[in-house]
Amino acid sequence: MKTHSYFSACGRWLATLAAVMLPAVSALGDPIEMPEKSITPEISFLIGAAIFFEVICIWLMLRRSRTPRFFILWLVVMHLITYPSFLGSLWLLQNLRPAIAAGIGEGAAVVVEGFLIYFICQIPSHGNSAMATPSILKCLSASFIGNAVSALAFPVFISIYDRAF
Amino acid sequence: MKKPRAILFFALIATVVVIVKIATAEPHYRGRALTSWLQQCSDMPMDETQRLAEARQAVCAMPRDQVLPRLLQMIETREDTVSPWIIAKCNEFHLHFLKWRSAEDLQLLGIAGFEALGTNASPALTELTDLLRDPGHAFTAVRCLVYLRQPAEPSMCQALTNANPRVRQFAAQQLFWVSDDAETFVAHLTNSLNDPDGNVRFEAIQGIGAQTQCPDLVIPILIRTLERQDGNISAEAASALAGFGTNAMRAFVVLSNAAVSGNFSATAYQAMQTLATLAPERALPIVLQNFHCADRDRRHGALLLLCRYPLKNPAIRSAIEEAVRDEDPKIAEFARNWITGQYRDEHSVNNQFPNDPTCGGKTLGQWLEFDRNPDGSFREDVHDAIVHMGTNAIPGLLARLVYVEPPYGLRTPEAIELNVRAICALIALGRQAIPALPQLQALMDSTNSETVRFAMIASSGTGSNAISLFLKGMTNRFADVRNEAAANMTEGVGAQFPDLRRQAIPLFMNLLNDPDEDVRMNATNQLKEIAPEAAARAGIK
Repeated sequence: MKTHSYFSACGRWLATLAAVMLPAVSALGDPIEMPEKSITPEISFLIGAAIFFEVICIWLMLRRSRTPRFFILWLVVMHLITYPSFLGSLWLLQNLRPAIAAGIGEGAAVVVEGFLIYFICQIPSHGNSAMATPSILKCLSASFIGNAVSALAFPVFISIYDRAF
Repeated sequence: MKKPRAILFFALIATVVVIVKIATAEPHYRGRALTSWLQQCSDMPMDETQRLAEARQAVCAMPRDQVLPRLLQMIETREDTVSPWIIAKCNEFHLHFLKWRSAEDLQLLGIAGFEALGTNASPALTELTDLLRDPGHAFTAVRCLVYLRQPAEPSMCQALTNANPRVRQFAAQQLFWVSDDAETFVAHLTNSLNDPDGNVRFEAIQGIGAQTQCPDLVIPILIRTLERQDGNISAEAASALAGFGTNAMRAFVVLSNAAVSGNFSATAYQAMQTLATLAPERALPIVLQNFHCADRDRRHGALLLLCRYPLKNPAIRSAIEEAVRDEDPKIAEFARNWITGQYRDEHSVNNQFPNDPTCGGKTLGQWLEFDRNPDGSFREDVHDAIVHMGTNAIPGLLARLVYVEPPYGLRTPEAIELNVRAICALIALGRQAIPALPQLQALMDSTNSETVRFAMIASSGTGSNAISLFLKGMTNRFADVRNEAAANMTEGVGAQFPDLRRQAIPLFMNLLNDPDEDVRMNATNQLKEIAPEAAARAGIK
């Protein structure tokens, strides 16, 4: 029952987030243009690799703190929400210079992911219950370092891809 | 769990609010952001007046105190190192839903905004003037300043002395739009005549020369510039003098000197042209003097002018006829073409074929003048008229087939058009054209490749009789005739008579060793299609 109420609470949070995001999307007033074709497998792979780096980094930073079972899986699932939100924020900010928009988007991602990691770490754990849950500051630091590593790794992956193909 | 949930909730809300606040910071009108309206201003072609006016109206309708800072921000944008990379990668990976703009794009949007606002943007005058001192933004600033009209005059004059020659050139070119007083305008541009950059000096003299309402002020400046022998700047001064009519007669001596002295240049040509405009009769001896001199360029310039001289007299006519025998082939060809054109204007082509048959009240020549279908064939009524005239039309058509323009026998585009119409008419006659075959056969021995080709193609309508002409064409001395004949063996006449075209196989074998590469290639392809076994024996795979 407890698990059920937990997931329904999560659903409510997501619904609230969607409700907040929707008016933001309509605020620009311009029609949304769909991409000509679905994002190419190459870019998906590169993004996936960068996210994987970020997840490993966060996991390494929090490995001495209490984390739920399948913590890496939780982090991956978290990115299924935060990465599209990051792209959405880029779309909202596209009247700015790309570098500034990406900076703001990354900053927002650090904050949101930091809080989400903190939230995830509050989930009851079965294996490492003797350890203390990480503080909000530690979660934000982990998110910052993870995102920085991912942001640095992404151009490196792209240049490797450009050289390889 | 309650505390973390609340923290998370507020963190999410705060992040979303911050992003939305930044994203919607621009002024909006009818639900669309300023950038979106500016993009419409910038993208619309000038003929889309309604949409352009709509976008400009929208920009003007937004609060000016919010619009101007954003426009200034746009034109002040600098390119950073990361943004071009992001834009390039988004394009590379087809992420077109992210419409990033380069710094230059944003500057162009800013300029479009100032254009839309016009004089309403005058509160930004100080900032734009300050930007003139910034080497990276001076050109964008001067482009915006021009839309502010009269209040921007001092700033535009300041731009005339900018360190960047591109800025000075633009300012000199556009100063007219911000100046109310012609005398002040001329005074400002007179300083620019000493600019070290030639383009700036050119724009300055062009601007000054356009002030035809101030002859007393402008003509002396134009004369001084003309005397300076400053390349195309002096030429422009000479050209501008023509706009002052009789007021410019005081420049006659200077123009005459420029027309005859020193090396022949654009200035000398313009001076001659202006003299011819101002006083054609007085100028004629000068033009003729240039025409009779040893310098080839000078003769050519004089001939160009004589051909469109305001007066027509025997001296001009005989000078042009003399040019036909000029030692310079370019001059001779120009003169021949001009005289041919004059002859064409004075003599109708149809009058040169007096014995044309008639049908339905129209002569053969009149029927041939009708527009053809896009595929080159005649309209149905024209086709029927030609068929109706039958063999009576043959002499007229053969005469047109070999027509070259008098008096020098030039195969001009007009003559070729007539030749082609004759070919089409002979083909339209079909088997009625058989009596023309002996003459066509004779034309196959012509020394002119086009005549041979036209005769060969004109025989196409006569069915199997045409094969002999095409076979003869395959051994002609001209490569383009051999090529045409070979091509017709698979696509044209040859395709209708596959048995007869087998006679062409030995000729194709010879063409495989033709000196012309195109003919060899064509023969190879044709032979493979007509006789694959012979092609295989010749080693063609």
